[in-house]
Amino acid sequence: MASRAEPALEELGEAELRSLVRELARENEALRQTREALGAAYDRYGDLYRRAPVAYLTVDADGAIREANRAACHLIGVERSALIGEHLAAFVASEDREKLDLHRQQLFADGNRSICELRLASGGAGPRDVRLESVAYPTADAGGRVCRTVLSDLGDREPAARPLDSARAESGLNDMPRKRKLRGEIEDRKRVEDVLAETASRAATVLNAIVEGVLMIDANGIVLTVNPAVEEMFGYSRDELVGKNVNILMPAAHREKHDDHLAHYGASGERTTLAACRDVVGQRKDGSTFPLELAIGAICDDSEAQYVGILRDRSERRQMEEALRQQRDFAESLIDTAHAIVLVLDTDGRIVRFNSYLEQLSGWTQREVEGKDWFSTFIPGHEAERIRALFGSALTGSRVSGNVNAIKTRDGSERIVEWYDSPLCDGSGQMTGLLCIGHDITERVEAEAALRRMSHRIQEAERLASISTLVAGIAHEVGTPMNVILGYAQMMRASLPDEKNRERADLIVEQVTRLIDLIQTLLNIARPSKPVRAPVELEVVVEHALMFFSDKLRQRGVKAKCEAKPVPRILGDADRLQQVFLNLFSNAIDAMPDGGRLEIGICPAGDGELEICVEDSGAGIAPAALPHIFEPFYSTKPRSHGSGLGLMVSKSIIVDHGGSIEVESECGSGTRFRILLPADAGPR
Amino acid sequence: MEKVHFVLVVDDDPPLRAVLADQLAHAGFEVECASGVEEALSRLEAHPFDVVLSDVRMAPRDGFWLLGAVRSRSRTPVVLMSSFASRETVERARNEGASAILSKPFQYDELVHTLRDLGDGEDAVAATATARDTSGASEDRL
Repeated sequence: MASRAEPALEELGEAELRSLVRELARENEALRQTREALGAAYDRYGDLYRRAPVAYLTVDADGAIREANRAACHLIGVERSALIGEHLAAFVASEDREKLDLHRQQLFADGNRSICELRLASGGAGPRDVRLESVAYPTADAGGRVCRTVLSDLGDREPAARPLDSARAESGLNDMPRKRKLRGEIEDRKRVEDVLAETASRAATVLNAIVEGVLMIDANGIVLTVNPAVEEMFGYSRDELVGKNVNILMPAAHREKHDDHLAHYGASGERTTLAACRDVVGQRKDGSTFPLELAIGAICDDSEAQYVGILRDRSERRQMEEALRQQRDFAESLIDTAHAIVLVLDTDGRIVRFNSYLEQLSGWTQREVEGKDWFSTFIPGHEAERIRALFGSALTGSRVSGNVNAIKTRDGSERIVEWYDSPLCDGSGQMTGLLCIGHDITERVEAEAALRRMSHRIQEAERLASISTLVAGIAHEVGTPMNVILGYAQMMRASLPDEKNRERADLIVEQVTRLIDLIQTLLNIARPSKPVRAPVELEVVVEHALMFFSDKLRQRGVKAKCEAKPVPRILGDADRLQQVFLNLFSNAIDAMPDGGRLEIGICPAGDGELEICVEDSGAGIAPAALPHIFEPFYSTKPRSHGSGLGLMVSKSIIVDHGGSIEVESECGSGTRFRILLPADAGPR
Repeated sequence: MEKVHFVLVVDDDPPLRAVLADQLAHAGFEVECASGVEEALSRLEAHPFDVVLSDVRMAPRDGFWLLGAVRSRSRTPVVLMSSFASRETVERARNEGASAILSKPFQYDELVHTLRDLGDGEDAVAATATARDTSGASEDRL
């Protein structure tokens, strides 16, 4: 896993771990099969060893017999129990003992293979000429060596050789064909012996090499042989075990039970069946115990049953568990270093766990909220119901992918998260919870919102531009007729005799003048002409606008205050910006006929923008009117008081500077305008 | 400059020609009217005027064309009229030699004062060519 390409975050976690577990289980199974095969091989070879018509001995470097098979016992003519532990020399004719010593010395000196022929001492079987073919092996105990020796009876060569010799002696002639035949038979026999010896040595090699402990006992539980793995596993040397009851390898409490088992096993007749593996406890020489897995096979014999035990140190399984744990740790570390939320909920929506990313994001540690309801803890109230419903549908199997919702952090702020959920199931396919991977997309969402605002501003600017074109066109057309109306109204007024009609003529002039002002105002929006862009200090602009109203503010009892944090200058048209503040202050003063507060704040707003807030404590704007206040000709003031263009003009000036203006208001408690202006607004 | 007396009004809009003629006559000027640039030029050839008061937007030839023609042959002052004159129009008029520009609609007093000021020898262009500018501040003298 470590060498794999970085896994997608969504693939991490339980699924990954499950596949690792499966892989380990497969390896386990393969190992078990190997062990079985080995057990079977051992049975085959062990049986072969014991039953072979070839005599095998195992002799240590001191010449003591450690093991002997049946054929060897038979050949030497001594019971096995009388052989084991005795010196081989004791069974060799005294005149050949020197030969045996030489054989053994040679063997252990150059360490390979040595052959010699010698005569056995008279035992039960009488004197016999035998051939010793020995191979040296190291043993598990440090520096120890043993040899495996094949004993071949040369006695049956004698009857054939003797007539030959006598014939040779009698005739003085060489009976060549017969001699050749005899030689052929002898060579055949030697070949068979070689094959057998080879087979036995191979079996021994296998037993020495395998990591499984192999132990053979007789029907009484007496250890016949063990392989090096057993020595290593229990800390006993082979010599300490052979001839002892196997129950020294188990804790005292298990011994009696084992004897019963053995008795039952012997009586049951299922002797050739390889018993199923079972977990038992082993006891080492130092008294410590450890779990081991035991498989027992019985080998049916003519006389008595023998059992082969295959032992497996379960601490090796522990290694696998360790490997598994390491994999899990690795996965855990990936989960914890992932730049994404990894969250596990149970089927009731309670928090099972989450990673440190969410801890950092939310300010909650896992321990603090473990077991708590996710929705009431992390989901803002307005979203809770929808998200709980989504969770419900995710549990019924529909995959939730790309859902976006806010989560609330410990400090009460909200983060926007995009979720990818997948169900978690146990081994039987029962759903146990939900794995949720979440990406914090707050910044992205904010950037998108900024982009939307920007495009909204552009649309606004375009809309204003098209209005401007229309206004300019109308202005062109109405200038002349209005001039005619105005001219004749003034002339008529001068010629009218009575006061009443002169007043009426004045009214015409006045209304046309009003129309002229209106159109001129519209044209000011329509024709920004060459934009002025010079460094502007907003605070100064605001102060000038306030100064303009200082008398009126005092008369109305309005307290005005401007709080400006240090902000960069902007590039703009100071006169036009001042017009914005004149409009806003004029509206604010009109909204506070009985006095109040007018507060202006200037501060940085991030993203290279400045924020200017103009807040009054006046009458406020009715909710129904609020959406329309920037529209042309919309006014809540008496017709004679306002053109209904002030805020529209203000907005067009702000938009023209690349900024935006928003309003919040509550009837009875005041109105707040929020202007955002880019600090570096260049010419547009 | 001598006192302004003879005024040539050039406008393709008959009602405006009429009201201007009436207003100027009422103020004591002598007025002739032309409905376009060609007619204006032929009247100018027939006898001299103290001032030409011409609309800008006419077809096929406009007030600026007439301004150029008058400037090329005499020193007769030209006052242009433009509907809600933009800053650009005011500047162009100034640059091309107009004595003043009146932004329509204008009031009687503006008209009369503008023409009389020409007669008072003021540098009419510098003094009067301040159209209602885009800031909306009305310091116009027009």
